[in-house]
Amino acid sequence: MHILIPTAGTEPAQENAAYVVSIAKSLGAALLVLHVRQEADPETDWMATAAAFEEAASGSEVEVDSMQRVAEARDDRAEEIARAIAEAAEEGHCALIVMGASPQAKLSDWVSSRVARESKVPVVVVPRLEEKTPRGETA
Amino acid sequence: MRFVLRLWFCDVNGMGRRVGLAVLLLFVGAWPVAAAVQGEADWVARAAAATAQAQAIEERDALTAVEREAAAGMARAAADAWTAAAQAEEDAQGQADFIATAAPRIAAAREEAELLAKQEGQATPAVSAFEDIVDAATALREAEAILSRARAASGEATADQAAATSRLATLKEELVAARSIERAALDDVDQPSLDENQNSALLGPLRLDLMEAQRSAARQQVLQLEQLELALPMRSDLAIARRRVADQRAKLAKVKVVQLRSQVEALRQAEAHAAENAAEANVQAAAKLPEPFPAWALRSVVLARLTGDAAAQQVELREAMSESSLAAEELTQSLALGEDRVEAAAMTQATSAMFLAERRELPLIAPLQAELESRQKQLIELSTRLLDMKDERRRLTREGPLALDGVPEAQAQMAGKILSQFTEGLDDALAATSVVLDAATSDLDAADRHLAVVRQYGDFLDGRLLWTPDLKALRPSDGPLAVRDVTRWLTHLNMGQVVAELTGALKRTPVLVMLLGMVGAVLLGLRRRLERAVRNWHEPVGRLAADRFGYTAKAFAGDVLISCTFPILLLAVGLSFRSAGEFALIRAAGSALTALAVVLVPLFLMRRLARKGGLAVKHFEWPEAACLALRRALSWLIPLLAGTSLVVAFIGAQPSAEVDLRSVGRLVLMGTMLTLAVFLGRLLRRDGALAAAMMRSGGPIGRTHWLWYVLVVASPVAVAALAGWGYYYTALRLESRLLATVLLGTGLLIAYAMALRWLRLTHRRLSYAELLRKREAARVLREEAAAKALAEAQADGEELVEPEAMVPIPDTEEHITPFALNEQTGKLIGSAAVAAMAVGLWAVWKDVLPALGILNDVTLWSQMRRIDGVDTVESITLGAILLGVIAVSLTWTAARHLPGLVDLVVLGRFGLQSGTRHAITLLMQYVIVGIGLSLALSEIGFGWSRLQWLIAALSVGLGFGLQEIFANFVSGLIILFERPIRLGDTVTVADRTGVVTKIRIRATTITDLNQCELIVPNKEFVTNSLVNWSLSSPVTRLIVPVGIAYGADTRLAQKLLQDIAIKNKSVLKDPPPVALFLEFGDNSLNFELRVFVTDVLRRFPIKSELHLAIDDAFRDANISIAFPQRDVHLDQIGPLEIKLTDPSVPLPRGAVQSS
Repeated sequence: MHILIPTAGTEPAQENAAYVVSIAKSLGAALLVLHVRQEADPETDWMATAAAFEEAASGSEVEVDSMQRVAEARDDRAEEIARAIAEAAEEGHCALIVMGASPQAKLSDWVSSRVARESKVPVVVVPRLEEKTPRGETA
Repeated sequence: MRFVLRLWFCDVNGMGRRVGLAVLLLFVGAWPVAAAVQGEADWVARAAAATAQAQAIEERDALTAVEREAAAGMARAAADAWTAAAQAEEDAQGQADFIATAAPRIAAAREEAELLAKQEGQATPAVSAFEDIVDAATALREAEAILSRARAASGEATADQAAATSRLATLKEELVAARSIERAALDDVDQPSLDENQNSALLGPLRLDLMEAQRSAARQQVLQLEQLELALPMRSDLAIARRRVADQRAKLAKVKVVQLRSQVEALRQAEAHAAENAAEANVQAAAKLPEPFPAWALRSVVLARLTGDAAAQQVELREAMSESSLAAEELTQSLALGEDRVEAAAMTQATSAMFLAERRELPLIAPLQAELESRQKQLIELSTRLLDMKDERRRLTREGPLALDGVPEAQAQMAGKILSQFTEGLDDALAATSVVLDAATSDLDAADRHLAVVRQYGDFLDGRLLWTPDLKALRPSDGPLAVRDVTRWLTHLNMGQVVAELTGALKRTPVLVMLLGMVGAVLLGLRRRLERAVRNWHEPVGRLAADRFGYTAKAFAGDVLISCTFPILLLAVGLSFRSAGEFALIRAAGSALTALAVVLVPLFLMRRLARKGGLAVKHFEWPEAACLALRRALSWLIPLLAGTSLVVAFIGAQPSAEVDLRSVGRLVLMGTMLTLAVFLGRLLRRDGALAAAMMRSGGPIGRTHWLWYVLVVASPVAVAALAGWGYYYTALRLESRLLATVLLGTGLLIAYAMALRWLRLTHRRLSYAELLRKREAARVLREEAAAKALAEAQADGEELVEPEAMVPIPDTEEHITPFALNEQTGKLIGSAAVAAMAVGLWAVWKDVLPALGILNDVTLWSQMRRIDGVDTVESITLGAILLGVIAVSLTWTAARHLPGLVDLVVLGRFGLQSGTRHAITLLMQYVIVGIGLSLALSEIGFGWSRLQWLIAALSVGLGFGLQEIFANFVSGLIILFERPIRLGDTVTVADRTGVVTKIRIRATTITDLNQCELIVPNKEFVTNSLVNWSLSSPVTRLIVPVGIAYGADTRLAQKLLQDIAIKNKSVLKDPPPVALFLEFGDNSLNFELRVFVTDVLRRFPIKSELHLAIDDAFRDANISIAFPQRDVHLDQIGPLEIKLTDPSVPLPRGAVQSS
């Protein structure tokens, strides 16, 4: 079983890493981090995100892999990103999508709701850092 | 003849002066009479008379030297003219005689040829059977002699015909010239010259004689040429008839020779058999004898067999040799004939058609080459065998008598018999082998000659054919004509026969081709599975952890197999038709199918790669839009190209059809090429997806879009234009080369994309590993720092030192960062692609290149050149200029890429310092540029021999004038090898400090703290003293002197200084900072804070930071920083003397007024 973690390389996404790893661990799933970047962005952002998740997963036996998608800067960017995420989930045979809801992040609610509409698998939206810890622990 | 006449007259005049005088008188006096009597026919006699007259005049004392010379000259000229007339008349007579007899001779020859042809058609003439091999061999030799005579006669006749044809071509001009000379001579006779002097009595008649002679000569010349014009076609006809006779004779003789050869061979075989049997009979008897007799007996059998085989081999070899020499001779003749034709008249369509036919019949080089190699091997084998046998024979001479001595008497006779048989057998085998060796050597020579001639003739034909139209230029009526041709062809086609032949051909398919077909069928069956597998291999691509290059390789292999399925089936059918079809149509269809299969593979592969989610998009990361454009274009290009290449190949492979379909082929080819041009123009246009993708990737391909766009679109148009102009053969050849170039480009593009993908993957993996390593190191440091901070229980609010700053990761130049790897390897891949493209282009176009020899016929300018003391004119041609341009561009490419390549591939392995490597590559660049430029210059006529004086003169001038430049140049080399400075070093030279930003061979660029760039000549670094702040280590010491006021707490001050140093992030912890109380100064207690810093250029900011921190800290601790103070002390031992004075009275000098 794979869980897709769409990110845009933002700090909040990386802060979610430990939480996401804990979900994966409890489900016995592997993580597939999807980094959506603009074409001009360097690949290092993607790697940094992947490394953050890998670091979070070290010693937890949760397998982490990462892929990237390039989104063009267009008006219907949210649509495009949402479609890319849904396609990636399908392509990577993912059973669940877990994504952040931080308003500062590029992949904020306006994307997650679209993803939920596009996707054929369940989508879990993780609230912001200060809100999630208690709930995360209870989960 | 003239020479003979002169000789004769010399003899006559040698009789004495008196006789000479008599002759003179006779001729001078009798000339008018003689002229009237002799008439015009007897030119020989008149020539003789004129010569005699000339000699007589020379001997006349009465005349002045000038007169004598003029008169004698005239007489001689007259004699020459008469002789020429006589000669021309004789020639004309010869031609007339020939014309008179030619017709019956031609008829007779034709009759004979027909008779011989009939003889050939009849049953093979029986050759008397020989019983004795010697008689048979003699008969064979005779027959061979007849054969070679007949062949020689045929060759002679061919040469005669060629000579007649070429003579006829030039004759017309000669005739025109001769007629104009004749007219001029007639005009001269009508208007006798007026400048006659006082000796006109002598010169007048002479002049008249001369004019008449010239007129006669010109007339005879014209007559002779006219006769020749009549005779030459007859000569040509006769030569053709003679050749036919000779050929027929040769054929008959050949039959006889073959029969006799087989007889001789059979007889030899029989003889060898007899010898073998005799030897075998002895084997049994020899078994009882002691060694080595049994072995010898056995060996005798082997030798007898060998001798028999050698006989057969010899016959074979001689036959092969005569075949090769004949073929070579024929080709040589054809070559000579072809050259004559081309020389006599420019290439015409008829010649072109003939050449085309000959080109088609010309044997292929590769099999001939292979044959030659096998013959060479055979020759070596034979020589070794011969040497071994000679050795054996020598041993036998030595050991034979010894062995006989050891045999008991009762068996001595038998042993003797075996020995003698062995000796004889060995001698026979030796003789036979050496004969075979001779035959093999001559055979090899003949084969070698044949190959050379085939090459030469092939080159000649290619060169001529490529620049000769083989069809008429396109006209509007060609369209309906083509339709008519096709209809006629279709009506000629016997469909029943075609179907029968097709099925027959399929039934007779060779095993290998069947296997190929089976491979195709298996692939067809596995197609779905393969597609699924390829999809699976696409899946992990793009993932950071799971992605491997192996997936790309596998997916590519899968795509290749899938794309090949249909072409392999086509190829199998095509090959089956080609190898099994007796019918020309089937063979042509086979060739066409084979050609189609070859064209389809890359097209299918490209379509497969460019599909949605395919290799191009997923692995190579080509833009989706570009792939879509390519896919769309291919979907209609594939059927178009497939159909037209099938038609063109079919028409090309069927030369001897009843209907010439080439004009149809031309229309199809033109249509295809123009459509292709439109297709390429649309596909690659500047605002298209494909061009956009190329431009976005940057690099030279994007920048030179206009250039290659024009080239790519214009090439098919040019081919179509050539075809329309009538250069169909040229167009076809160029089209196939263009296709090959496109395939090469596509192949290289795929290879390049694969290499880039590998590079990207490797780079990504290394970067990611590096990132993980750094993160891990940072984490460890963070944890350590946190633990330390906790343990020391630092005061609140104190900032923790950033772990990264504590342990900077050294980034030495030897440490290859992923980025460097990426850039270097990218360059390497680019260079490799360029090199591969160059080699590939050479391989593709090299066949056409000899034809480019025509470029060497265009001379642009000429110059004199002295070679070995002889002045020769050297022409600079268009070809030479082109070669020069190519040399320059290759030099440019090589100079840009080769040194880097060598550095990466070779120098990197020797553990050289990077500076040394840089120096070597720089020098290599200079050498490459030097060699390339000198090559290019020598191509356009400025060779080394011309330049060396210039260079010698320049070097003296340079030695004086550019001394400094040279000094800097050499210093640059020293810097590069010795490395007193490197890129990035901080140096102080000539009172200026800065960072070395660029090292060039003449000067080095230093950027100082004001961001000014100083260009320092390299000599400065080598000859003057230089401070390199960072040669072995970038660490430098910074001293901050501090003076505090007397009375302050010195211990506190020292601690504060120490703490300030430790807290500063730029100050190194190792070596540790030190605060020292050094002296009691005049005004202050002097301290020094000594710290170490890594960044030389930040010394001043760091110093400033430290000063600020010290000032703050000392103010907080109430330690005042001392400033210079001056105390004035008054003498208090004695009382001060004070004097009051009257202010109104002026004071004496030096006195001080007190108040």
